[in-house]
Formats: sequence, C-alpha cells, structure tokens
Amino acid sequence: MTRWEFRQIPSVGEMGTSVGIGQSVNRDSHAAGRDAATAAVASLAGTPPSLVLVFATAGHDQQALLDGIRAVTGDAPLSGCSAEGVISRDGSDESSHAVGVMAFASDRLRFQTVSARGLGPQSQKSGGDFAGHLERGDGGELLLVFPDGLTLHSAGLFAGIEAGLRRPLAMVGGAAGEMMQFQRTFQYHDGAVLSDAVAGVLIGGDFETEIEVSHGCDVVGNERTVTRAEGSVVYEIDGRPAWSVIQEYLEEGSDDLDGLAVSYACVAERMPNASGDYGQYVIRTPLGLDKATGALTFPGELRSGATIFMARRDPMRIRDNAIRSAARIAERRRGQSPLAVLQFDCTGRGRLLFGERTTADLIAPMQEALDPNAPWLGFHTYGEIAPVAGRTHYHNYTVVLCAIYARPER
Amino acid sequence: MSTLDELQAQNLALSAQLRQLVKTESRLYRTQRQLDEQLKRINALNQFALAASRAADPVPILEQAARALMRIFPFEQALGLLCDHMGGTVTLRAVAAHSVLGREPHGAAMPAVVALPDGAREALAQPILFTDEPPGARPPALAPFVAACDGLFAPARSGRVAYLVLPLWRRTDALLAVLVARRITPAATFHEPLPGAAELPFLQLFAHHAESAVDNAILMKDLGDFASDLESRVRARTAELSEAQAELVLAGKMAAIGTLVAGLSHELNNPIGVILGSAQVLLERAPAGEPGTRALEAIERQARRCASLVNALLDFSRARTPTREPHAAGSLLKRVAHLASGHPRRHQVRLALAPGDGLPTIEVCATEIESALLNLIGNAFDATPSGGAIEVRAQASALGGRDGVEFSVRDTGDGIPDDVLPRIFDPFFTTKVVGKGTGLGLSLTRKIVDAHDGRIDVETRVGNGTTMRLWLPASARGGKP
Repeated sequence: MTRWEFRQIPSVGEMGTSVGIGQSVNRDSHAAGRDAATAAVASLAGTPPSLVLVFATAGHDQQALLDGIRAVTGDAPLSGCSAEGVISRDGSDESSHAVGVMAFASDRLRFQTVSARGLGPQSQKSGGDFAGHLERGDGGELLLVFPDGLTLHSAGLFAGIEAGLRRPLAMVGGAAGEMMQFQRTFQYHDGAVLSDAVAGVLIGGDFETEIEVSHGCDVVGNERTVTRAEGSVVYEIDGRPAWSVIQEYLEEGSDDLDGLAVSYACVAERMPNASGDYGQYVIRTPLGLDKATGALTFPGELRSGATIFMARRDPMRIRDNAIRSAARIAERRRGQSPLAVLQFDCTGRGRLLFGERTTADLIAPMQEALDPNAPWLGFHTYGEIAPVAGRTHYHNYTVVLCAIYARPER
Repeated sequence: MSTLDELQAQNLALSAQLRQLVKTESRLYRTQRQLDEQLKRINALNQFALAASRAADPVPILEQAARALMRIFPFEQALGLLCDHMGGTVTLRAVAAHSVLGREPHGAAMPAVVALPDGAREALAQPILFTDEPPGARPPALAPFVAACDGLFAPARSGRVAYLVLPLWRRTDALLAVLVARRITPAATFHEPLPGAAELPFLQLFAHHAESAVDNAILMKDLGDFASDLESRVRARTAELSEAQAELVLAGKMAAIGTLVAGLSHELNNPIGVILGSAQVLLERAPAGEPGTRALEAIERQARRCASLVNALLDFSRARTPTREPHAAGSLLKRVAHLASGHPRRHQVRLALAPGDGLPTIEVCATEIESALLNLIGNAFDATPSGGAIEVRAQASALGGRDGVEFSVRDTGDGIPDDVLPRIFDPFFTTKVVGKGTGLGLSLTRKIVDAHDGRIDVETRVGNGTTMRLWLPASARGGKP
C-alpha cells in the first residue's frame, strides 16, 4: 500500500536563508539526535527551522534518534535516511553511531517533505504517488529523494516520479544504506521512520543549483549484453547465468555477494548519450544474489538488451574526477559561496577503498576545491541519484555533488 | 585458422589475462585493507605499550588498556579489575572504567570488589569472547563473575551483548588482573567488526604487553614501598645514633666536669667545715637574741647550705643516691622562702608565698629540693625587673594518677624566647652575664626532680612572665605532717 505525506511551511518575512550543521557520535540515540539538532539550530539565529535533513548510520535506534531531533526542531519538516556513513566538514564517519543534521531557515526557499511506501515491483506506482502530491511553484526547483537502497527498482521509481511531474525538475539524492548487512534500511519522513519507502523533499523558490556527478571506473574486457532481465533482476549475461560472469572477476573462492565482493563486482552500462565531463558509462553494482539461479539484483536496473562491460575501480581516477567535479562547480559560480552543499557518495568509495585516508584523500580535497566554508552534509549511499545528459540515472561507485546557491540579484 | 579466428583467440587470451589482473587487483585491495587494519591495531598496541611502560602504578595501566581495547575493537565499555590474593581467596577490584556511551561508564563507585568464584580461575586461562545470544552462551564457570561485572557497567538496553574477558597473568601461576569489555548496542559495522577467533593471537599479544606492564608496576610499587620503608628506618636509626652520639659526648663532658667538681668539692669541704665549726663554737658562747648572734646563726645556716651544696655537687658527680625522708611540703616551702628572703630587698621585687592547704607529705631529700626551689626562685629574681613580683605557691596536685604536690614559681619578667626555651635544662647553658651564672642551676634542678620521680615544666610567654612548675609525688606512706 502506498501512502504519501507532505508538509509546506509558508515564508515568514524577509530574512534570507540560514543553514546550520550539527553532528554527534553519542551512542545514546535520543541524546545524539538532540545534540546534533541543537548544534544545527544554533546557527539559525533563533529562527525556527524550515527544513531538517538527517543522515545517520544504522547502529542507532532510529526512532529514538528522530525523537531526539524533533525534541529540538519541533514539527519542522524533516527528511533523510539511514546511511553507511555520514559525511561532513569533519570528513567521513562510517562508525555505527554517527548522525549529521542540516537545518535550513529561509523565507526565500519553500520546503515540502513527501514520502511513499512500498517499493520493489511497486516502485513505479509509489513514484507516481510521490510526485503527484508535490506542489510546484515558480523559480528554482530541486527534488531530493532518499529511497530504500535494498528494495528499490530505480527505473520504475524514476519513471513513476517523472510521469507524475507536470514538468521536469532536477532530482538528486542517495539510496538509504546500513552497515553492509543488506538487511534493512530506513527513510525519515518528518517524525516517522519508514522502510521499503522513498522519502524526499521538494525545494522551491529563489535559488539555483549546481550538480556534478563523477566516478572513476574503467571498463575492462569485451562488450557484453544483458540477455535476460526482469525488473531489477538480471538472470543472464551473454546467455550465461549473470553470477557466473561476475564471479570470473572475483577472487577464487568467492561464492557469495558479501560486502567485499560487492565492492569489486562492478558493471558499466553504456549510455545512449555520452556526457563530456562524466563519460559514457553509468556504473551498476549488484546488491542481491539468488545462488540457485545465479540471478543478480541490480537496484539500478539493467534491461534486456543493455550493453554492458565489466569495470574496475581506479582510486586515483576516483579522487581526481571527484576533485575536478567540485572545482567545476566553483568555476561556474565564480567565487559565489553556496548556501549548502549535499554530497551523496557510494559506500564502496569510502573506507572500503581509501581506508583511514578517506577524509584526507577524497573528502577534504573536494571541499577545498568547491568551497572551504560552505555548510556541507552528505552520506555514504547504497546508490546515487543524479541527472546525466538531461536524464535522471541511478548510479553506483559514484559521487553526486549538489550545491545550492541563492539566486544572484539581476 | 583465419585472421578473425586468430583475433578471437587473442581476444579470449587477453580477456582471461584481464580477468586475472582484476582478481589480482581485488586481492591487493583486500590485502591492503587487512594491512590497514593490522597497522591500526599495531599502532594502538604500540601506543598502549609505550604509555604502559611509563606508568609506575597498575591502575593507570589498566585504564590505558581499557581505552586501547576500545580503540582497536568496537567495544563500548571496558573495566579493568586488579587481583587481590588473600590466602586462598581471590577477589578483583574494579579500578578502571571507560565508556563511549555518553553516559555513566559504570553502575557502581570505583573501586568495587568482585569475587572470583571457584572454578573461574581455571576458565580464565586465555582470552574469552562470547555473546549473550543465544541466551546462556556465557561460559558457566564465569557466569557469576560476568554478572557481577554487568552490575558495574551501565545497564544494557538490548538483549544481545558481546563480551571480551581478557585475563592478565604473571607467567602462569598468578592472576594479576582481568579486563572485561562489552558492546551493548545492536551491531558493529562492516568496517569495525567485533573480534573473533582469528583475533585471539592478537589479543594474546595485547595481554602479554599488559601483563608485563602490570607485573612490572606491581614489582616497582613493592620495591618502592620497601625502599621507602628502608629509608624511614635508616632515618630513624640515624637519628637514634646521632642522639646517642650527642649523649656520649655529653657524658664524656659531664664525666670530666664531674671529676673537676669532685676535686673542687673535696677542696671546698675543708674550709666550709672550718667556717661551720667556728660559727658553731662562737654560737655556743653568744647571747641569744643579739644582732651578732643572728649573724652567726646566718653564717652557720649558710655554711650548712654550702656544705649541702658541696655534697650535692659530689652527688651530681658521683650519682650517689641521697637520703630521703618524709617532709611537710608547706614547711619545706616556708624554709625555702626564708632562705630566699634576702633577695626581695636586694632586687626591689615583691615575693609572695602561698602554701596551699591540705598539702601531702613528700618523701624527699630536703636539701636537694630546697636547692632546686632556690634555683627556680633565684632565676625568677634574675629575670624580674625592679618593681615586679614573684609568687611561690604549693598545692596538692595529682599527675598520672598519682597524688603529689606542685610547687610553682611565677615571675613577671620578660619570659623566655623561643630559641632559648629548648636549651634551658642543658648543663652549662646560661643567658646570664659572665660570672653571674654557671649554667648548672636548671640542669641540676631537673636532675634532682628526675631523681625524685617528679616532673618539671615551664610555661612562658615573651613579655608576659614565666611560671616554672615542679611536681613531686606524695609519700607512699601517706599522712600529713
């Protein structure tokens, strides 16, 4: 059953936009939520928050965490999701009990939180419900989406959302993650903790966005074809069970799709329209395996007939591309500081790849290249959502940077 | 084979090579990740070992060990318990606690004592890892001990608790301490797994470092305590030796003085005998009540006193036991006052006598006690300026459960300065001008009082006079004269 909810806060006088960030590593979930929210709200100069974004790792008691946050923010609209790690100005925190809160107070921006339950085969219908209740306005628009990374059928969800929108808008976000147990993720809608759902927020008003997407994977070997797929399940590649094809690239003895195997099993799908800076491949990673049939589940969905390659990660390219993408945003805005920056970065690009150097080698240089002071919050996802070449894609092994700017005076 | 076939064969071979390269790369990533983890652990271990080697007390070592364990593994609470061996009983004192839960690290005040039940010692032969899922998974022999430790930790919210029990041994025969770590929140992350069987060698290595540090600290502490004890004993012995040495020097000095005094006394005895004899011969012929007769009586009395003093000096030098007889304290005091009666006129100082009522009989050598009191009165006159007053009292007084009499001589002089007070009973110590004092008066007085099993003390305030108190025990035969 699909359920939607939304909330809209009217503008309140001329005050511009303030953004505050708060974090906590307290193991007591209620206290962690309270502490992080208190720190975030402290930057709003006494103005009640208009929107609260929350990303937290899954060791927390999720409901206690939200209760702690709302003890501070009251009924302010809230959106977000569980994560494998939280990204902030302090870097990447992939411990079991991390939480980051970004609070907005603005009379220039409108925020409408929305959610829909029931993904999997119902993803398209839920996407339609999700979009159908968005109240569109004039000016800039940005849709942040945080779907369940384990039950999502991305193509269906995007199709549903796009069909429900009366005109296109930019959609970015990340799929909710957890601690690589692949059991259950959580989506936050106002005070509720959901699973198998999509949560999101429509931002409208007097602002502009800059979005950059990058990965650092190289294709290896020959072109391959998805020969049998249904929804998010790929049964055969080149006429062979999909798992057997992937397995050829894994270490000997790899007989399951565990956390480490996921980090190496990487597929690149050729896009119909290549993008100059981004390249011509979207990266896909399987998150489910049916050992009996060798079928693999790709939340990013691969259709029958899709042209794919196996791909390998290149840490240096990942780093260089990420820093370049941050620098491109800064160059386009020519010294203007963003109101806020959101980062949706793949779980496989954090500690799994860079170990203890994730912050020093990847996160900090990106922040330095884009803006050394802007409020910055993000998370390590089970999948990244961002447009490439005019179309929303579900990515893996990718970073999405979304910088929100006040619209310059004309 | 056609060119196309050759190209396909080459392609297949290259594809196989590529697959192999990707596998190798994956293996390298995995190995690098494992090495990163090992490096992190070894760094934490080294930091702990370095810090522990600098600690001279087992408690901070256990605190550092608890923190290090939680840096290396995702435990949330850790306790350090120090072992106390009392006979055959082993108890553990929780002396260190650390927590990252953002609340009270423990439920009980430190140090808290946990008993080690029978059989638990054997179960603590090596590091033990277990969780409470399924229920009852904790080793039975350790269950009471772990339950007691649970009482010291903050309460767990969930049912699934992961434990590490790390015993620290001195070689294999003595349990030194135990570290207990817990995780009470539901799950560790993929990146921070709880230790398993594969980590046992590392945990043993960690335990070895902790064991050496704790053992060394205990030995150092014992050694320090022993050294401190030895030092204080040496100090005490040295002080005793110094005192003995001083007494020895004094004894030598006194022996020499005694020889001198004995010789002088012997020489003085003859002229005094002549003076006394002559005075007595003249007194027998002198008419009573005449001024000349009173002068002769004074000569005879003073000659007797001189003879007594010479005898006292001989006693002082020969340590001869004087003859003691029962005397009325009041009469004795009056006699002394009479002997001292010439002083007030000379010094223009008022002398008041206050013999108390009900004074007991004292068994003393009267000459010695009179001499002692005259010494005190003489010193009082010397210390009191013209116009001042001296009060001589006697009153019944008990001391240490014994009845007795306390003679006191209070003057209105300048008092005795603090730097002088400790030396006033030293032989030959005097603050009087040269020729006026011998420095033997108070020394002799104390010697007399000590010989009578009495006590002498002084109460003085600079600018506010001095009171000398001389207490003597009542006669064991009792009665009042």
